[in-house]
Formats: sequence, C-alpha cells, structure tokens
Amino acid sequence: MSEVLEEQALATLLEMVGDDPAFVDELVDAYLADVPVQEAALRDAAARASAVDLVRPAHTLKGASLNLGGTQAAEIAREIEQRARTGSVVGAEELIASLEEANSALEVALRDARERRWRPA
Amino acid sequence: MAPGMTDARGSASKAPAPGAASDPATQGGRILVVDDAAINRLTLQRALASRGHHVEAVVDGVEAMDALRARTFDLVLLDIEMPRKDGFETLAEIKADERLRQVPVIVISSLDDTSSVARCIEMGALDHLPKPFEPAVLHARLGAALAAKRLRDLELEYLEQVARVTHAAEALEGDAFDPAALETVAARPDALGVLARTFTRMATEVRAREEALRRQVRELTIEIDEARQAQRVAEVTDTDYFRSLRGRAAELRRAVHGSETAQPDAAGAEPPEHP
Repeated sequence: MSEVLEEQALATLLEMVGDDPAFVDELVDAYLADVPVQEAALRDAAARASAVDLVRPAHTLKGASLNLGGTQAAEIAREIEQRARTGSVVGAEELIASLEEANSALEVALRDARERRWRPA
Repeated sequence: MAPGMTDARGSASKAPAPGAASDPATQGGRILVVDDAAINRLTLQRALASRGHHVEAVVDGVEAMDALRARTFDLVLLDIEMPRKDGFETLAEIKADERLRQVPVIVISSLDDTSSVARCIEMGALDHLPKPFEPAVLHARLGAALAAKRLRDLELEYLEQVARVTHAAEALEGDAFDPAALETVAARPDALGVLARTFTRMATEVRAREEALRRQVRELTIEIDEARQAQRVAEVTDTDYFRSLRGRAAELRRAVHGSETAQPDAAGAEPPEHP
C-alpha cells in the first residue's frame, strides 16, 4: 500500500506556488471542503449502480489527492474510476469505504503537515 | 480585465484588447487554464503568474470557447475530464475554428491516462502536462510552446507584411498607391523595412514627376490652343474676300460720314433739295 501522504509532493506544490505556505493552506482547505461532496456523489452513484456517475467524482478525487501527495487515496480513486469506465460497479461500495478511510487519514496527515508549514518532517 | 485574470503578483492585470499581439518571450504569455478542479486551476494560476504570464482560468470547455472567442491567448492548458464540454470536444472545436486553430494546446492529464493523451495529440494538441504538476516540466513545456508560438506569430506577421508590399505594387500600377499603407512595414529594421521605405520613396518621386509632367502638358495644351486660334484668325483676315469686305466697309463709313456732314443741323429731317 502506498503512503497516506507523500510529503515530497507537498514540497513540490509549495515550490509551484512560489514558496507561499498560506496559499497551500487555501488549496488544502478547498480540497478538504470538496472531499465530502465528492464522497457523497460516489455513494449516491454506487447506490444507484450507475457506473457513469462514478467516473467524475472518482476522477476529481484522484487528481486533487495526487496534487496534494495523497497517493493512497488517489490509487483507490483511480481503481474506482477505471472500473467505472468499463461499466462495472462491482466492489464499488467496498472501494468507496476504503477511499473514505484513506481520505480521513490524509486529512489528519495534512493537518500535521500544516503545523510544519508544509515542510517535510 | 478578463475574468479570473491574474498577473505575476497574483493580482488583477490589465488585459490588452482582443486580437492584440503579446510577446511571450519578453512579457510573458497570455495563458488560458481550463480545468474543473479548483486546486489545479489555483495552482496553475499561481505558478504561471509567478513566472510573469497573464493567466485566465475557466472551469470547462464551454467557458473556454467563450474566452477564446472573446480574447487573444498564446496558449491553452486543457484538462480532459470536465463537465458540460470535455477536453476532446473543446480541442476539436478549437481545431475547427480558423482563427483559433493556431493557438497551441497542451492537455493536462494523469500519468495513467496515456490513451487520452495520444488521442489529443492526434487531434492536434501540441503536448501534454502530467498531473501531479512538476514545476520544471511545467515551465519547460510552456516555455517551448510559447517560443514556438512567438516564432510562428513572427512568420505570419512577416508574410502579411510581404503581402502588403505586393499589394502596394499592384496599387501603384493602378495609380491608387497610398504611402500610409506601407508605414508599418517601413518601420521594420530589417531588409523588408528597407524595401518598403525604398519603394515608398521611389513611388512618391515617380508620382511627383508624373504630376509635374501633367502640369507641363496642360500648359503646352493652352499655348497650342492659343496659337491655333491666332492662326485661324490670320487665315480668315488674309483672304481677298476679307480685304474686299474691309474695302466696302471703308466706303460705307465714308459714305455715311459724307451724308452726316451735308446735314449738320437737320438730324431726322428731310434733306433739302439740291438744285
């Protein structure tokens, strides 16, 4: 299993935005606010067994998690997206539960990293 | 200012008028970021603005086409997976538009999305930018794309100005040359500028000479007309008929004069009978 938070990704992100920790704060806050929205969309699509409607929230969470170093969450989201693109909803509920756990772990890790102003431990 | 436009400080920047050329090499390029993920938009806006680029960010292909048709951009960073109008549809629409098809498009993609990237390249995308973003890769790809765009813009400008000189030559033949038409070309510091300046100067000199010749011709025409009139008068007055007319006129004047002296104080009265 990959890392909950790949701290090098945060360092890269910090470099991308001109070494501005306050701006990374904003990005992470935007991400954390969006996670429950996307998780709810996944739950709803899975309940309706709609593979088509699983694709977009899974894709969104995959991209956002990757940019913040959440490789574990990104991998699970990718798995959901790839299966959904083939029209399959098999195992979607379980994968969504795993993704929610990974997102929770990532949130904790991000709060720790924020304390360090996004510098590696 | 265009909506969502930021400059190097991440603050509002003054946008040039639609169609105005920018110089990506020296002033930063005008870049349109198209991505439905807020984190990606914000990250790219900040990263690009910090390098001196002017960035506008929109959330999908519908907004992207609106922005592209309303304003001028040097480059588009285009996400593939988006609501309403995705990257494929947007790219196809850009390439189908005669005015937009030359704007370079770099697609934003996940590393695992190689088939989508390949499809976009086949559709005319210049390159792809993998997520998560790497600053060195981002700026290298953008720099190369903007330099290529700048070179192409210069080539197009050169060809357009060569066409202006050609049209000026045609206009000169049709006597409709306007020196103002070549002012921009003549301001160039290169050989084409020398050609335009020389052409304008020579055309102006030729026009001045032609005008002087026309004036001379008009003056000569007047002189010739006057000489012809004098000749006609001389031809008429130098005939026997005219001389006989003059003789008769003189006789008549004498006769009239004689009659007047014979009746000095009886004007209008019956002449006295002579014995």
